[in-house]
Amino acid sequence: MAKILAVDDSASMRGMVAFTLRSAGYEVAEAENGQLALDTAAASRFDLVLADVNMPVMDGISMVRELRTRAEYKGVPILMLTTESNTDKKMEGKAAGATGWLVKPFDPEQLLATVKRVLG
Amino acid sequence: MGSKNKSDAAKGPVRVGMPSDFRIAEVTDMHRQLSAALDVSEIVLDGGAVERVDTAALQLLVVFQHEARKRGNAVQWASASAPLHDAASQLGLAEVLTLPAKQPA
Amino acid sequence: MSNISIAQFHKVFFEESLEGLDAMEAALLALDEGGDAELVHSIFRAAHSIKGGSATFGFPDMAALTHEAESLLDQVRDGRRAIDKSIIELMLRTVDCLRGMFDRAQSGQPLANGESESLKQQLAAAVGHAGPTATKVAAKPAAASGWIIQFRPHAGMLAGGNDPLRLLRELAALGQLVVEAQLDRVPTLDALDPTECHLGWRIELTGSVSREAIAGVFEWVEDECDLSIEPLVAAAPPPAPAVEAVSAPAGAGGAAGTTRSAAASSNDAGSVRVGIDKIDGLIDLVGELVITQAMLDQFREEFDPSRLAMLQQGLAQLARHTRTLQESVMGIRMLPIGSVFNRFPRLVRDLSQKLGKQVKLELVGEHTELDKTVLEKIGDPLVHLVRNAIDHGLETPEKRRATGKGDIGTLRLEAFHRGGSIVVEIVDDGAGLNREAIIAKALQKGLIKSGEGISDDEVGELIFQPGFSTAAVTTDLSGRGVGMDVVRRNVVDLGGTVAIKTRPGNGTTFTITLPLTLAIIDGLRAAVGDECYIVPLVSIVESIQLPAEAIRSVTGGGELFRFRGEYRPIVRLHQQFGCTNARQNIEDGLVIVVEADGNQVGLFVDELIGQQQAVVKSLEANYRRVDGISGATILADGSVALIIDIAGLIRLQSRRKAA
Repeated sequence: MAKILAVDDSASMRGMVAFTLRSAGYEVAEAENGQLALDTAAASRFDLVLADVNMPVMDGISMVRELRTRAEYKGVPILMLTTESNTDKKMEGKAAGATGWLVKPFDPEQLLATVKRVLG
Repeated sequence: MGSKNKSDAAKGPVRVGMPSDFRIAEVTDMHRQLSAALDVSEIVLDGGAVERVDTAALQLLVVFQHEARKRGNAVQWASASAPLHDAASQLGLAEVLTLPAKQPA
Repeated sequence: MSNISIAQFHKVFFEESLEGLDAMEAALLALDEGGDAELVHSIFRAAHSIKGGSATFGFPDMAALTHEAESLLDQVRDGRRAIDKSIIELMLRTVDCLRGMFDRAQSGQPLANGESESLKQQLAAAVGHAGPTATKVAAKPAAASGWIIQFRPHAGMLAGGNDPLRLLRELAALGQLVVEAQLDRVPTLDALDPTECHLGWRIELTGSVSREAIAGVFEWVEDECDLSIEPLVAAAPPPAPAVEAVSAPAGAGGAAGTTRSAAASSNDAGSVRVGIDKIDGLIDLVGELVITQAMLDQFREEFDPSRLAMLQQGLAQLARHTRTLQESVMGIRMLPIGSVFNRFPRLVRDLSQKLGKQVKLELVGEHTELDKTVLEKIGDPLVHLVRNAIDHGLETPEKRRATGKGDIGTLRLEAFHRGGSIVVEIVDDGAGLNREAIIAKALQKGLIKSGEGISDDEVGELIFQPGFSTAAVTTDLSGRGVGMDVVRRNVVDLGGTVAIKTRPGNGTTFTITLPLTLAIIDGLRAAVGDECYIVPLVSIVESIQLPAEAIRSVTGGGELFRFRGEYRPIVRLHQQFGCTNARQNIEDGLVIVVEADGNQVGLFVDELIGQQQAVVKSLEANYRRVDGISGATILADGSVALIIDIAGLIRLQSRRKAA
């Protein structure tokens, strides 16, 4: 089953995402900021990365930019978890190399539908 | 890297097998393998093991076939898996890739 | 999938949000006293998290209020608006109002009230919203019998994770497709960067599908392709209603969800999953303690000397139970190191392939248990050491063959108990450290004055020096700006040590020694004048009594003593920490030889009182940081003893020497 990295500084949001995905049979690793996510992503290759935008230490946009410089993350889908007020953040995320986005708030069904859409 | 196989030219067909996960992460490696294979006049492609494939992989095969045709290499398919067939048809590339007839699942 | 209940995350959400509100409040108050931009960012982040969470977890009133607060903060953050007293005041009231909402949420009451509604309007007014933002009226979808889609991805689309194959499959789910690939821009094989896209497509989609449904498929790639969507037949729109694309979720996911949910676990940083048997064991122990206490209670009223044996027995029992209880409670925090080791097979495989090396990875002792905190922090140093070993330590098959070794290099990670510590060894059978390169680099950096007479182990120590980069040519693998000094610092921060042994031509061994737990340490209690200090047992090499003539004074005021053939500095603790009534003559006291980071010094103390376990209390949390002290503990008589930070003390000592 596909491996997914969930990055969010909010433990509840991360927990919900991870729980939902694990319940659907995905293997999920969690990271609470961009920097930790980069380390985790280096230690193991993921099929999909879901990343919050606003995080301490390193935000989601910088994380995507850095991740895309790594050969092994070329073509790996990275979705930004963003809020509707962040329309420009979507574009900033895209410019940094994100594949797409999932707009908060989302419920478990929407999350799974999007993940399935990307992972096929 | 291309000259390595020159001496094999007389030995008959070279076989290039595709990985089961044939997607963008693998195309750089396959690009090398396919380029090297062009030094042999007869090339057999084996896509029988392919389970996952993406546009990058199929594009590579298209470019390779073009190149082989241009240079006069003979390219044949040993087999092509159903996922490979499906993806090629979806992208409108089945013909240009000269895929063999689809095997019954 | 509707069986997934997100209510289980409410508690975590409440907790983190209340913490977020505390942080927001503190930052607002600091901002009131003239803080910096980073404060605004942290306030924004807190508000943003609460907004996202409250919307997700079903608290729309809270989301609406935080949305307005966030919009105002966004203006401040972007510099569109200067922060002033009125905004800080408004935000502080928002914090209070949200706390009230959380209280009501936890007791299941409606969240909004007059106060929150009025505050929301005030925030909106401050932002400049006249009212709710005008919703865009969607243009009537032009339904058609079909569409012609011209789709030409830009070169970078594939690397960005959007695969045209996926997009075409999504289109195929909307209607009948005729796909024509356009190969006119395809380069030659030599010129091809296979990760770039050079194909284009003309797609005929028949079916009564709205333009929005098609545009939805391409939503993420609008900026990454040239796209046109034209009606297939330019006829009057038929009356048939537009069909929106509904992706039908496959049933498989749902089934998996119900069967796998038991295995799912939330992995929050602040909690540990504990087996029920461990809890039961603890309850049993507490039961035993209650019995023992009742037994000892008998002696409170009157004590008959004839019952001394019984009292002693009771006390011994109490001691035993306390020890077992302590071990059991510690055990709750212990997790197997296997969870960290698990990341390495993939890492090693990927790295070795990338470098054209053949590496066999051996993992030994995965079941060895470590304190959760230690476990979480040891991953990064281990990753670094493993990367280093593959990158710099192990040779290519050709090189190995040339030196008479097998093609395949071995990298062993082994964890085991040694005394009261956990030892993790990273062993490779590679080339060993490049002595010449390291000495040359150290000379160049001014870390040493001459390369003569330096032992292999001393060469190993050099790579731990700050600013020392291990590779002559920095590769993209290890050269990530994190040096071995950071690895050592991380391990030392966990109360551990890193040592290196290198065997030229035969490989390198890194030995990380870690304490079983950070909460309790084994130490020796030493008297220094009127004070008492705890010296961690793990750092102690030996205690010796020295005659006065064994001490050598050096220029600059330092003192040295000879130990195992080498001169070591002496640190007089009474001078270091300013203790009164301490012994001054070396022969009257004791020298404790301690070691950290491969350096040894002698601590001069009055005398040793005894060995004891010390429950570590943070000095920083209760007082402030003191150099050379890692924490404090409370002694049996209620007095406080400071715990010596050996590594810190040695750093202080060498800094003084350098000065």
